Amino acid sequence: MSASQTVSAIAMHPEQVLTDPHVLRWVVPPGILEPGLPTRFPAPLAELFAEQVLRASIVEESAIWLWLSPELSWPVVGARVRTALSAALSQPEGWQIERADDAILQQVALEVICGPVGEVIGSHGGAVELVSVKDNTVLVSLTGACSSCPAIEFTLRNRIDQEIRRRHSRLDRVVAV
Amino acid sequence: MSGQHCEPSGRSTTDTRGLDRFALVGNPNSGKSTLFNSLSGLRAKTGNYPGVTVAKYEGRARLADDFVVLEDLPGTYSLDAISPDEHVVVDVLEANGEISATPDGVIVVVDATTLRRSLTLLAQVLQRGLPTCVALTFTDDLQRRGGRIDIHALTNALGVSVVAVTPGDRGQVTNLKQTLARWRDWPAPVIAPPTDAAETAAWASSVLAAANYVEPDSDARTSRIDAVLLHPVWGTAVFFAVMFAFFQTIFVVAAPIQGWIEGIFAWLGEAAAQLISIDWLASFVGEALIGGVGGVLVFLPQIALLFILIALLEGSGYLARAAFLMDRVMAKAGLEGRAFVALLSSVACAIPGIMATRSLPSARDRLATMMAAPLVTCSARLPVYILLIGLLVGPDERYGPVNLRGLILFAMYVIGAVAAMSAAAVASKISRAGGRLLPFYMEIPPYQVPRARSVVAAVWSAVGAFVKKVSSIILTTTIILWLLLNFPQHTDAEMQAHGVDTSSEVAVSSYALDNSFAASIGKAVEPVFEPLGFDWRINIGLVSSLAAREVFVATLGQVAAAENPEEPALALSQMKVLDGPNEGEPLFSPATIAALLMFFAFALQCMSTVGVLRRETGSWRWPAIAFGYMFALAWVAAFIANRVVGAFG
Repeated sequence: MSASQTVSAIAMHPEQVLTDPHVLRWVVPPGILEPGLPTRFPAPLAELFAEQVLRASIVEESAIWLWLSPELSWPVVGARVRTALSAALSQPEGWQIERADDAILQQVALEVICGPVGEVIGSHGGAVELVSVKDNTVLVSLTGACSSCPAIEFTLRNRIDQEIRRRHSRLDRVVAV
Repeated sequence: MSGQHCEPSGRSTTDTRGLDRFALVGNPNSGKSTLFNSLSGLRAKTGNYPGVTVAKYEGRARLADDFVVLEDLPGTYSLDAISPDEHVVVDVLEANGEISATPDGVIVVVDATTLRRSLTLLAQVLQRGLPTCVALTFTDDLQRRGGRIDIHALTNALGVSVVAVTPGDRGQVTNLKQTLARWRDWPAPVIAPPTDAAETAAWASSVLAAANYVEPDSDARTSRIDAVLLHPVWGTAVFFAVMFAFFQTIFVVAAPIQGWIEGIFAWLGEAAAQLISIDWLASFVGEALIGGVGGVLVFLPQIALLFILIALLEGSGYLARAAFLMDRVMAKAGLEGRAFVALLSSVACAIPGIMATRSLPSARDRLATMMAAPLVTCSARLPVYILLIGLLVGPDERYGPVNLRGLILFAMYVIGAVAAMSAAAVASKISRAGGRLLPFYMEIPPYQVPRARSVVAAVWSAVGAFVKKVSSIILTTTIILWLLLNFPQHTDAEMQAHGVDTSSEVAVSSYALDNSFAASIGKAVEPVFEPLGFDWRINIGLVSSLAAREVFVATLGQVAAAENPEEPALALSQMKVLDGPNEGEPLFSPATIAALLMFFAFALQCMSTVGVLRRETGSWRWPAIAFGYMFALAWVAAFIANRVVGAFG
């Protein structure tokens, strides 16, 4: 019922995640939900979990990750999930989210490193790998051309740190090991 | 029914079959056609889509090692299929479209400075599920005006390839070509954008935010000027002042140049009279070529100036404001702004104006505008007006500080504009069944100094078109007229039998003219035009101007040159009424000139326009209605003008 009442639609769009075709990252306006691992969803979304259309979710500051059951595909159920998610976002009080900074940071850091930042570093002959995430601190290893590169501090602060912080403001720091 | 002959007939035999096809889709003014030209190297093949009167542009582009076919679809803001243009775009993108083969890939051309609006169209294209990529144009403009876009992030958010491309930039065009070559591997969005309007708008907002889109600033200087120029009162006052200065300029600046050209033709006429000893050839060259065709060519400076001024107004960004101002007036008359754009195009020529009605979504508005467009003062009327106004008032007559000739010309343009808008309003009122006006987008570009190159290009093509018209349709009609005016030939005995003094050259040529085929035609239609003060010589001018309005000038030039080859201009102003109650009085009295001006303002004397009306409406019914109602209007207006001016004069 509430699903059809899209009085003012919530601004959102899906983006693919490089590592897994079954995950979509739904970009939503910041401030609706607190980041963390959801333990309870509002009815429209809870139904999809009960039907085992969806199987997992994490909440970023301005995105929600949804994992689809492996036997389903997004082109088939995408529109239905979008409607449900839109409805669920219009009732933020129906969500229960456990704080899990490091789990979120792990996903964000991995995406940034595998994404555009990693490509830039790769194009300069370097390589970057995520070592670990703990207490909002990200440990990376910079190898290849990076190991003797004078711009290493610049890359850490202005590319990796900045990109991760844009999506996860609780980031403490990024350290190269 | 043997297999060999079962090839589908009527298909183009050029080798576009089997090649990959791409369709270009985009908003009007998105740079789509420029990009199309840049990709296809201007080797476009034009035609029509079957069943609808929308032009089809197809071209071939060379990728790395293969040719592909590009189809430039009409500019559109949505795929809602309400106008004929949109209907074509929808049909082409449909899997089993009727009027064109489905393309292998779609290139959506998106203007980076108006990204939000373009995304609505992109969403609709993506819902069609064809392989799609985005060509992002005007990124240089966006940056210059303080806007910003992260193309990488935009690609991620949309889920399709985005290529920034400025049509003039060779590197970027090559980049797009490489993308086209890989169309089989183009990424597709996992989920098509939502269809609901509110959800689509929300989707677009989200995509723009993710791409860090910053809209370009509207220039501070532009907004200060617009505060005045778009003001309902001041803006309208400025608009009329600009138009007024416009027509003063046409007379004041072009007159001396026209004088020089007339001098050249007078010299040519004298030389021809002296050098050519064969009588009929001398008459042909002197009357038909120099008097007739030359008589039209002397108006080249005015035509050039008209288009220079239009190009300057357009290039500076003022014309779009004028359209915006007039849109408010039009809306009151129940017409939408797009109709005004069509009427505005008719200032050059009614034909592009009629073509511009293709963007009108409602068939009724389209017809209403088509019925009105030929009333707008087109550039073909300009030589006729200038000739007639020149006969009416002297070059230096003034009304206060204002050149009187320029003032009358301005009045003629106002009459044309008012007549066209009233006709459109009436026509749409008759046919409209309470339909509402659809929303209308109009670009309001920032003010800028007009580019010399585009001004020159506009004037060059207009002057070229004028010269081409003069050397084809006007020359042909003039030659036919020369034959009609000089035949049948009469023997001396025949003339003497009618009491003509065959030793007087003037008497002979006057008799020949008065007994020519042309005179018979002119006299045959005399009952219709007699109440307007026209004699057979004017009538033959009116009949021949059905081919093109300028022929009227050529005809009068010919008749005058036949009467007095030395000074045709003088002969024209001294022409006398040949018979009837006013015999011996000047033919071109103020009353007759006023009637002629009114007749030309309203009558549909242009067969090309009739032909285009026939093609665009698909039947002879509407051109017949247009011709009929405009003739009636012209006759009545000319009659009133003749009587009113006659009473005062």
